[in-house]
Parts: sequence; structure tokens; C-alpha cells
Amino acid sequence: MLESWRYFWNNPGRRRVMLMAYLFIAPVVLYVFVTSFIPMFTSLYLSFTRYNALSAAKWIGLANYRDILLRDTLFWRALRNTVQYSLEVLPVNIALSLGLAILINRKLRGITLFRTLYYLPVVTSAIAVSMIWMWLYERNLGLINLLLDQFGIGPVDWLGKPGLALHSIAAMRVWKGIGWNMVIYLAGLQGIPQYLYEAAMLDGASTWQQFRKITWPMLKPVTYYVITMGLISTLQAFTELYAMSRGTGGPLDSTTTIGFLIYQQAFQYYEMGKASAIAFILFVAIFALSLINVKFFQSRVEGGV
Amino acid sequence: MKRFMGVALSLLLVLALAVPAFAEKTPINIWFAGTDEVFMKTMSEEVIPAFARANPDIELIPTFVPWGDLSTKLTTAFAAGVGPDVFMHGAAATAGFASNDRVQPLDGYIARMEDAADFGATLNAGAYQGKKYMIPAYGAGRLLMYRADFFKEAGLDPDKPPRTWEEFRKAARKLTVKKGNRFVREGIDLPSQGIDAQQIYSMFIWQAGGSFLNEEGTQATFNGKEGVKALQFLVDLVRKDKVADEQINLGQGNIPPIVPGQIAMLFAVPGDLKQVEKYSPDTYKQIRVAMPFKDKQQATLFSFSGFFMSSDSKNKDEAWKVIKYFSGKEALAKLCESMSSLPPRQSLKSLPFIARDPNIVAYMDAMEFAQGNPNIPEWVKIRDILSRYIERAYFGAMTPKAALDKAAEEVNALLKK
Amino acid sequence: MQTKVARGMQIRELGAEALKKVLLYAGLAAVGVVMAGPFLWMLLSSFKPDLELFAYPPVWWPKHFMLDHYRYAFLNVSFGRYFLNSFLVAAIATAANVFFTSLAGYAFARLEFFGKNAIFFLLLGTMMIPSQVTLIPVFIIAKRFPLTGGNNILGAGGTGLIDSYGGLLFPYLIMVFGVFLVRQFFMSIPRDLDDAARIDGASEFGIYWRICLPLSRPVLATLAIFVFTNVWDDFLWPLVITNSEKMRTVQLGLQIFQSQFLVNWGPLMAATVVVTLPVLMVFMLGQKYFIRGIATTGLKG
Repeated sequence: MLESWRYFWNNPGRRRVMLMAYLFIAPVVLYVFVTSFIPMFTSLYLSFTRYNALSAAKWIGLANYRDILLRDTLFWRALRNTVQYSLEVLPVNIALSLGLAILINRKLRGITLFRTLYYLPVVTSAIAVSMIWMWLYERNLGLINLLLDQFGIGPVDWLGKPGLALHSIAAMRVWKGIGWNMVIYLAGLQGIPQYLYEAAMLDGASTWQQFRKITWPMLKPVTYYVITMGLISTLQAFTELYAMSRGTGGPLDSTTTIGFLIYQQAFQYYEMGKASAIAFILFVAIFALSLINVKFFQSRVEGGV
Repeated sequence: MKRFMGVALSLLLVLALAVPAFAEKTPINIWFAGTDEVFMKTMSEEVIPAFARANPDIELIPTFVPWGDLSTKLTTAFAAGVGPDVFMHGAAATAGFASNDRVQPLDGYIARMEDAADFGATLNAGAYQGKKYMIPAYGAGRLLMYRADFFKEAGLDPDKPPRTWEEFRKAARKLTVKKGNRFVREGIDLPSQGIDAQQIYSMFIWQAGGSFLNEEGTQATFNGKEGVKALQFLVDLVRKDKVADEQINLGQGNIPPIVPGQIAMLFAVPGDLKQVEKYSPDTYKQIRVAMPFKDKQQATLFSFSGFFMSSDSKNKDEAWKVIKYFSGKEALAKLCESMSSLPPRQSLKSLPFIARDPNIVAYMDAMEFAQGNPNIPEWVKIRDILSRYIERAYFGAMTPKAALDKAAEEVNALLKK
Repeated sequence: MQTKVARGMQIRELGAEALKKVLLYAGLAAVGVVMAGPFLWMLLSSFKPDLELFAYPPVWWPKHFMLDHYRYAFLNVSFGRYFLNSFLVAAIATAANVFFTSLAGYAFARLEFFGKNAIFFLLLGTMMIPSQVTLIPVFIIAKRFPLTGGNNILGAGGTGLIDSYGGLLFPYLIMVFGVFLVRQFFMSIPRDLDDAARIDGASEFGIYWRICLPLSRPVLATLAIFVFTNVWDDFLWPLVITNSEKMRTVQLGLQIFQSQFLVNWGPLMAATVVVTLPVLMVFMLGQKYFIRGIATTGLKG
């Protein structure tokens, strides 16, 4: 480490760049230190205590972690649900949002309208969205069952069947999130130099080949962002699951996620310590998955393109 | 941005300096639960100004907090030491706040209250370990609500609603309409999940003469004979008699499913009545409610919300003045009407919005059979454990006995800590 | 004859082109219906009387078109003030984020310095803790913020940032996801450009300001859209940090139509439609920068 420090410090050019860089990141680092680091480490400390936010925290060592990992059967169920939810939402979301971004990345009359329409789910309030989807999914009068009925199928209890509820909510989440990633990919597509495609077309490359050889590799940094942020947000998912299971996490615990447990412990049971412990277990899971993501991308970037 | 902060800062400074000038006014922060627009309007346009006129020495600073986020906001504020002097909450929150010394016992004040008797037993709703912490503001209870026209259709007498479990089961059977295996009309709507499921179970376990916990609150008793019998009865309605679906019927938006007739009966709170009346006045003419069933005894669940005083309040006497005013007859009459909830004062039974509707009067009458869930700090956790296992029994994943035994095991482990 | 054939081919090509265009529009519209359907339904519903709103089978087009829900929503709630608050906070947060996070994102993407990856992953790590458990610590810091709300230099004595604009802005001014986003985009800009500029004697800030920023309009637009959307939509923080009516934001205003037991859907939908409009406007402004070429013209020349 010292070696590395000397490498930067002893060379005037590198030193200048380094100092400049520190200046550039200083506002962010200082600000994040106050608004995020301190709270984060407070929360880490709290995870070793019994703390109900109403009276002083009491140090209890690893007891919260032991309770959660060894005794709490619901925790493991929730972890499984969470990972499943994330793995269902992410790939579909990425495929569809990239597809849409390519579709609307063109100069066309009225394209602004279409882009805006596709972004609408992102900005429509979560409560309204959950409510509308609950109507769509309603087992007797819901629009989806009404449509299926035309084909003699159903009715399907989308949110009431233990084996189905999580998938139904995942589908809603995909729909709600597409617009967000679509915007990122749209911005990413602007950065791909046109001449690459022109050259490929001269070589007679098909559209699919252009996508595979140019678009996809050039979007690697963007995809890396989309996956990392997607992991972070889906593994913390809470709002839509809470709303669409009407606060129960059911049927039969099938929509109980880690985010749900954290909320429950923190603001229904006043167990801030335990909530923090669950949050840090989740942190480890997210961090591990992100590292896998890094490794995956590093090897791909070097091997491919 | 900097300038802006500067302006904000100097404004705050001016405020801070200005406060001593009006030092004769004692500021009291009060947090009302509920952001319902009629409630907010009634409070801020009628009740609060009236309070200000009657109490020129107090500067009331009201904040309206949405019910669903009340706990979040209160916890955060208490953690930072900026909690309100007075706040509203459900009685179920009493034990949690009281066991952490966050709320002030009000027994001393109540003793000096001239008309405390008007509240009757409802003052006990917010009692914890022998002390009273809450002055009730309004309540809600559950009663069987049914459609008179469906009763007639099924050959039942709408003026003689079921009085026992067996009569109830028979009525539900007759009222159920099916097409093949599918319900056209459920005899009774039974929520199988969450707080609703637990609350309905509460009614039946008490009617059977059972209880959730022993006197000391140290041991689960709901898996005893009565508790199992109650759950078995409810589960049989779904799995054996098939007069109710496994899932609650949500209906379409705000139209309760009893309006289009997807269900014939449900265990309703007063808010459900109001909803039917609002969206289908014609249907409402057919709506009746029944007194609690009698098995071993008549019983139903009532829950109250009310005013608490923070133990951190620096001006407790003024805070009490505020509580006393807002739980006074005049203020409560306005508050309860704006929320269309039941007043805890028996003297308010004659209020026009109650007296004009026999269904609401029935709720007031049923208050004599009211019971509340146990007031212990662990109750919310116990409730959630119960809900989870009650759900398993409804879905047929466990027998009622096995489900309650397993729940009792978890609850006992929790209480041991 | 040859010309005839050629013309025929041209016409056929034109026909194919037109067909392609029709298909493209049909596809775009079909996706649009799925994506915007619920919002459009909400929009239509906001003009329907309650009984139509919940009618079965559903009524699509309002039979009795009315503005009552809008009148009700905006006469009963002082949305004007809420809009002003939300707009101020979201706009300031957007400007601050675009400047500070793009600066940091640039450093992480293009400059070499000691501890780069460690610091970056520490920053990234802060996003991996659910906000539910950091809510209370953040709130306490806001309350203890020195020299605000009657606090002394040690942050004691007053109420800090509680119930103030500073408090509303507190967690938004710099958001880590922006640093990450900008870093990823700056990483894809070829390095030969800044090397050339460096040889010409440009400063690091100059390279960032004159080369990277102009090339990054799409990502900065994205960032602006996202920050604005996030801040505008946030509910939990304004809920805990504000107490008084005059500090409330639009999302808190929407709560007014939801009581303990039921939701007043008509006015809620009307208000939701109106509350959504400013974000949509920001999106429409921002997406103008998503035009192929801006980022690449610099490279060719």
C-alpha cells in the first residue's frame, strides 16, 4: 500500500493528477460521509444492540445475528423469496428495456410521445400503480381474468395463490422499472460512434451481428451499472410487495422479502437492532453478488469485444 | 442554494428570537393521527380555533400524520428527542410506549376529571400494568353485517339474525350460491390473512370463553380447548361447509363486495357501513348488523384510539389541558362525526349521526360486549405469529390444532425472553 | 424498359419502406398501450363520477365527464405551496447532483489516484443498506446539524434542520447513484481525447469542463431526470423531517385522500395526474438530449 502511495506521490505529474482527483471527489466524499457513512456505521453498531428507538441501546453482542440466522425460520424463507424475486425481475427488465431503447433510439415523428409513454410507469405513484394492478389481477372481476375468460381460461387468482403471487408482483415490478433502464440504455446508445455501424454494414453484417459485435459490447459499462443498481434495488424491494399483499407478506409467506422483514422489525416491532442486523446480512449478500458481477464483467470485457 | 439556506437560516433565527417575545404563551405540539380531509378540515377550522379561543395561554402547534406512517414518524422523532407533547395513537401502542417510559400515566389527571365516568370501561383500553395512559377519542368494533334481501331470498328472517355459531353456520350455508365449484355469492366473507384474520379469530375465541394469554401475560393459552374450537369452527366454514373462500374478497375499488352481492355477510367495522351508504344508498337500505354471537358468552372486538401525553413534555399541565379539551364532549362529537367512528363517551350516543342510523346505534349497544386484545409490549409480534398460523389453517396446510400449537410454541419462546 | 423496372423496384422499395414504417408505429403504439395503459386509465378515471369509476364491467370512456375530483382535490388541499416546496427541493437537488456527482464520476472514471477503487466501493456500499435502518441516524444528524434551527456549534440546543428547507434537501444534495452512473459513462469516452488536450496544456478541470461534459449531455440529462424523479417522488423523508403545513411536499399532499380504512380514489387520481406532470415535463426536456451524434461528433472531428 505504501508502495502504491509512493508511486503516485513521488512523480510530480501523477501527484498533480491525484491531488486534482481528490479535489474533485472531496465534496462527494465529505457529504456522503455525513449523510451516509455515519448513519451506516451507527446502524452497524446498533445491529449488536437491543434498541427500540425509545430508550437507550443495550449491547448484546451477536445475539441479533444468532437469532436471525439460527432461529428465525421466516428469515430464510424471506431470503429465498428475495433472491427469487430479484432473479426474476432483473433479466426480463434488462432485456425489455434494452429492446425498447433500441426501438426508440431513432429520429421519428412523435418519438418524444412514445418515449414519454414508456417512462410513465416510472413516475406514476407507487400506491396508485399497486392499486391499479390489484384491480387488474383481481380474481373475479379483474381485467386480466376478464380477458382470459374470452379464451375459456381461468379465473386465475394471481395474488391469492401461494405459488403465483410473487411472480405476479414481479411482473408488475418489471413493467414499472422498464422505463428507468430504458433511459439509461438510450443515453448509452448515444455514445456508440456511428462509424462503427457504417463499417459493419460495409462488411455486410446483419442487424443481429451488429448488435452482438458492436451494441452489446459497447454498452458493457452501462449494463454493469444497470445490473448493480438492479441488484441493489430488487434485493431491497419492499413497497410493492407490502402494498400488493395488503401488508401481510402472504399468502403463506410467499411474498415476504428481506425488505419486508426490515420494515416490520424497525417500525412495527420497534426492534431497530434486529432490523439493522437483517440489513447488514442483506448488505453482505448484495455486496457478494456485486463482486461476482464485477468479476464477470472484467473477464468478459477483456475476453470479448 | 447557499443564499437560500442563508435565508432559511435567518428566518429560523428570527423565529427563535421572536419566541421569547410571546413567552406568556406555552407552545404545545400535538400530532393528530389521520390525514383524512374531512377530519383535518373539522379539526383545523372548527375544533382547533375553538380551543385557541378558550385557551389564550396555550399556543397549539398541530401536525397531521397519516395513520399508516404514524409509528415511523413517532419513533424517529422520539429517537431524536423531538417528540410531540401530545399525540394520538391506537390503544395497541400503549404497552410499547409505556414500557419504555415514553408516555405519561394519566391516572392522577383522570381522578380530577369531573366526567371520567362517561368513558366507562373504555379508559381501560389504554391501560398497562394497572396504569391508564390513553384518553380514548374514538373506537371501532366488529359486528356481523348482512343483507336483508338475501336473507329473504334464502328463506331466512332478516329480523332474526343468527345468535349462535350453529345458527350462523346454517345461515351462511343457505346464503351461499355456487356455480359448479365457483362462488357466485359467498355466505360469509372470511379474511384469512393478516390483522383482519387475527381480529375475527379474537371474537370467536372470546365467545368460546377462551383467551390469548394467561393473566400474567407470560404464557400462551390460545391453543387450549376453546381456542382450538374457535379456529376449527372458522376453518370448517372454508374447508368443510365451503361457505367462504380461502381469500378475502376485495371487491372493486371502494365498492364493497356486499353491494354487487358477491358476499352475503361479513364481519364489518363502522367504516364499511359508511362505504356502502356512500356508494350505494339503495343497497344500504338492505344492510343490517347483528349483535355478537353467544357461544359461552357474547363478545366482540373493539379497538380504541386516543390521546397520549409524552413523558418528555416540558409543560405537562398545559398538555393535559389540551387532552382534556380534545376529549371533551363537544370536541369529541365533532371528531367522531368527521371520522364516522364510535365515540367512547356513552353520553354521545344521542348524537344525530348515530341516533339516525339503527346500525350505528347497534355498534354503540354492542360496546357492552367489547373486549380488547392483550396490552403487552410483545402483542404486535404475537399478533403476527398468530396471523401466520391462522392463515396456514385456513389454507389447509396445517390442522387448526397443530397450527395453534406451533404458534403457541413460538409465542412462549418470545415471552420467555 | 430498364427504367420501368427500376421504377417498379423503387416503388416496391418505397412500399416496403412505408409498410415498415406502419409496422414500426403499430409496434410502438402497442407497447405504448401496455406501458401507459394504467396511467391513461387513471387519467380517464379522474374525470368519472365514483359510481362509474368502480363500475363492473369497467367503463373505459367517462360517460359523465366531470371535473369534480380536480375541484375537490385542489380546493381542499393547498397544493400550490406543496408544488413550490417540491419543485424548489427537486430543482436544487438536481443542480447540485449534476455538478458534484459528475465531477466525482469523472475522477473515478478518468483519473488515477491512490485509493481509487477502495473509495469507490465504499461509496457504492452506502447504497446497499436499506434506508429503513439509516432513517433514524440520518434524522438525528439532521437534528444535530450545527448552527441551524437554534443549534449551537456543537449541534445542541435547537431542532437543527427539522421542518426547514435545509432539512428537506439534506439527504438529496449528493446521491451516490449519480457518481456511479457518470463514472460508467465517462469510462466509455476514448482517452486519446483528454491525452491530446493534456498535451495542449489543458487543466484537469478544463478537460472535465470542456471535453467530457459536452460529450456527456445524454448522461447528464439522464442524471437530471433521475434525480428530479427520485426527489419528487420521495415520501418517507419529507414525512419525518417536516411538521408544519407550509413545509409539506406534494407526496405528503397525496396522503390527504387516504384515511385509515379507505382511499378517496377519485380525487387521489386527479391529484396524482397533476402531481405527475412536472416530472413528465422534466423528462420531455431531458430526453431531447438523447439524439445520436452529440456524443460522437466530437470524436470524428
